[in-house]
Amino acid sequence: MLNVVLGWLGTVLISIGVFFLFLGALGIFRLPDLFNRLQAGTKATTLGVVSTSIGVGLLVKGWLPFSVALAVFLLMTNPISSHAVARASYRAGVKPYHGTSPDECAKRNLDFSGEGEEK
Amino acid sequence: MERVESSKISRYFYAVLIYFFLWIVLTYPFSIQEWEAGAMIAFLGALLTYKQLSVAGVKNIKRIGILLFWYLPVFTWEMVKANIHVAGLVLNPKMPIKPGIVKIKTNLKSPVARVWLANSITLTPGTLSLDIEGEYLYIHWITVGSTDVEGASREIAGSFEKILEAMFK
Repeated sequence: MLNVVLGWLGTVLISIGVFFLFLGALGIFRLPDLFNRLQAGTKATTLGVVSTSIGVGLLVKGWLPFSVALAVFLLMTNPISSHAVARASYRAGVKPYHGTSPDECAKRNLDFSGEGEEK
Repeated sequence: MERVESSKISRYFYAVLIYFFLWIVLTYPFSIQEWEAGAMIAFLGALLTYKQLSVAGVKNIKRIGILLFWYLPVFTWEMVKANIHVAGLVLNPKMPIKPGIVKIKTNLKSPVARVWLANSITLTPGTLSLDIEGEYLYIHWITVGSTDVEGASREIAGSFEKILEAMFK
């Protein structure tokens, strides 16, 4: 009985994960600039992979601790990597989409000729 | 920035606990021999790396409690909302985005708390932390709400700042 319930739960979680992974890919394809694409990529892939891996952990006996550990590592590292990409590309001069209306970041005095240090 | 260091013993034992717990999880079908080897390796590994692992030492255990029972439910709900939000944007044929970069102010003092805040902001609906400069964070917002510093801070960081303040007190 428990196995059947866990199996269904795992299948549902994997389906949700795959759906959001697909949406993440679609978002990267459709959104206009690097920052918006990063948003779609980060959020959708984080929930997608976490949900898929926990689903696999529920389906296969004895894999749950590993898949939870995988999910935790992913949750802690994924936003850091996307922040690193966003920050580095902003400082390297990637222009945001022309409709980006308040751009508080552009008001700062950054010296792009140096090593990215502030004046 | 304040950076309160605990005693070396406390930091060392915290490292031992974390490494031993990780070992237990990663060698899941439990057996006593694995645990013995794990304890030895945890004590040795902690000796080499406890300085890099933590500054607060055993106090972190209380933080992990808050993390599991208060932060995690809020965070999970916010992350599901974020994904539904992104799904709505991406699947809508007109794509109603209105991106902007706003500046928010945080009251959190410790650097680790700021890292947690930035990470939480990245995974919550429509926001991506772009840069941090002292107590100001620059946030890329996919559908801009309020553009002034206070309003944006309340709207973006409000729910997490309370929890993180309690966590890193």
